[in-house]
Amino acid sequence: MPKSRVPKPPVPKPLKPEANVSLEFLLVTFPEERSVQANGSNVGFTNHTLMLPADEYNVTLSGAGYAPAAQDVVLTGTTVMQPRVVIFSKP
Amino acid sequence: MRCSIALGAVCVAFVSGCAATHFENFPLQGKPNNEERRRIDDSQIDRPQILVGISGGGSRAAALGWAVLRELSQYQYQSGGSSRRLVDDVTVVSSVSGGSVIAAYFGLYGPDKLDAFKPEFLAPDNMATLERSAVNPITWFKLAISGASRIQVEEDLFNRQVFHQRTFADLNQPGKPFIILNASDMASGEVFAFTPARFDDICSDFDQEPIAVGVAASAAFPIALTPVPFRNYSSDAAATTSATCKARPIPEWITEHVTGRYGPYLDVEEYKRARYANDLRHGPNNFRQIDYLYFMDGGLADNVGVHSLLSEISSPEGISGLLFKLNTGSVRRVMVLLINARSDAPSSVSTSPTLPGIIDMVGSVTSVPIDATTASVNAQMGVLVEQLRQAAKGAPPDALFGQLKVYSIQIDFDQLRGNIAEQKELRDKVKAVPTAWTISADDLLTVEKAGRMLLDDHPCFQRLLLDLGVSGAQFVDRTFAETGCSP
Repeated sequence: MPKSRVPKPPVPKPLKPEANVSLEFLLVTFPEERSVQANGSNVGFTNHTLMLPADEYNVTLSGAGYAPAAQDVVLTGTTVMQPRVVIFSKP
Repeated sequence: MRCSIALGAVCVAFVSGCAATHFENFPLQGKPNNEERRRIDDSQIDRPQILVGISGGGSRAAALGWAVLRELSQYQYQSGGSSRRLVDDVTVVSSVSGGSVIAAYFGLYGPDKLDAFKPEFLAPDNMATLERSAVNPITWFKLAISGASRIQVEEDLFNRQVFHQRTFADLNQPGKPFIILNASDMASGEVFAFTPARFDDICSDFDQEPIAVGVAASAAFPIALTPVPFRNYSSDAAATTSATCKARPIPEWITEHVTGRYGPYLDVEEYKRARYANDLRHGPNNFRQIDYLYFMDGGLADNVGVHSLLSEISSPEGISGLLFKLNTGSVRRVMVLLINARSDAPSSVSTSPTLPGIIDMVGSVTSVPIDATTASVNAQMGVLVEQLRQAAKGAPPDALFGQLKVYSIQIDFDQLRGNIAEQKELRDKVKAVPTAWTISADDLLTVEKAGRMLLDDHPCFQRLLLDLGVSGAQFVDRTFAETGCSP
């Protein structure tokens, strides 16, 4: 007796096609708004999801009075709804 | 005439070969870095930021870039209570070879002088000028005395016709667009973009550099022309290397990339870019020893200047800071306009039973890899644009890029269709326009017509005009624009 066919769930379309530039997403949290720096360049503000190319970054904030002083972040495998979350706090 | 050019070239090559190389850049003195004075104007959030890539292809490419920029100046919209032309929103122009002539001209003189480009550069018989210079004994001895080479003849042409000894300081001014001329580093094959940041790497003065040298470096077609020689003032071998150059720290992004554990696996191209910058700076653990640089036509690495545009959009180190503006929501409309003047005249090879000769083979060897590389890099831009659109569409409430719209437009003669009689005729004619520094009046009209038609017919251009509320563009078809373009 043939098995009844169960419809397969639709395969989600990949958000990121193969390319040299692959966009990833980063959310840096801090109690106040600061500029976020990736490898020394300003890339956006704290508490807002940011777009960045897939890579390894040294993440810091503008100004003083935050901890830790820097975080090494490997940005890969994220989605816009599931960004890599990096937490800074006041010391 | 061909014999006289060849004889001239031989004489110039022989005589100039006797002198020491004339390096065409200047050391950075009294300051550790070049100043970047240009900024993106994001004062009105509704304005599009237009990024343009203009390909190589001699005067055909210069003419196509010129025609498209002029077409952008025809359309106005209301912003901040005043009328504004689309051409005023051109923020970045990245160019190669022939495209660099119009790119630098646009940056130097601005949109209001675009009409003058035709009598100053497109109308004159520039090839005749080059031929006269090449066979003139005065040219040979001038080059011999100065240690310059054949490329100097082309630089002289650019200076005489359009740039008049002006320097990059004239391009690097507040309110000007970012003009990025791209050359190929002969030894490494890397794209060398003429930017203040890249000049920092070789500790050379960006402002002092003549524009004609940058354009000639971008357009130094191999063999026909000699490469443009630069000295790397970051090198210990440079006698004039200043203490300032030697004492400079390596920028953090370079160190992070070349020492990071994951970088080479996540983005090998970015890793190589950082490694190249480290090599230029004579940083630790260098891959290449770079004391001198020899630049050839930028089209050898990327014939539309897309590499530099990709960096401007997605790299934290982009000189325009566009990524920061996108992430902070202060730029919400981006138009990417790639203008490719690739010719493709019908070839007798595919209709001949005779084995192709050496000239046909040399033609294929020089054009096929350039076209293939360009197509590949263009495809990367398409992928990046799609990622930006998807990111904006799926953005969570906290993201400030949720309202970003990206209009991606490619101008390519191949878009003229064979099933429409007018377009077929135009396509066949425009693809046969030769690559040279002279373009006939008839060919110029053909290129102009093709450029205007391809821009106006593009669904993403029509969609931008609709979204901006541009009046007077009767050709806009709302259904076509909304179906063919989802910014």
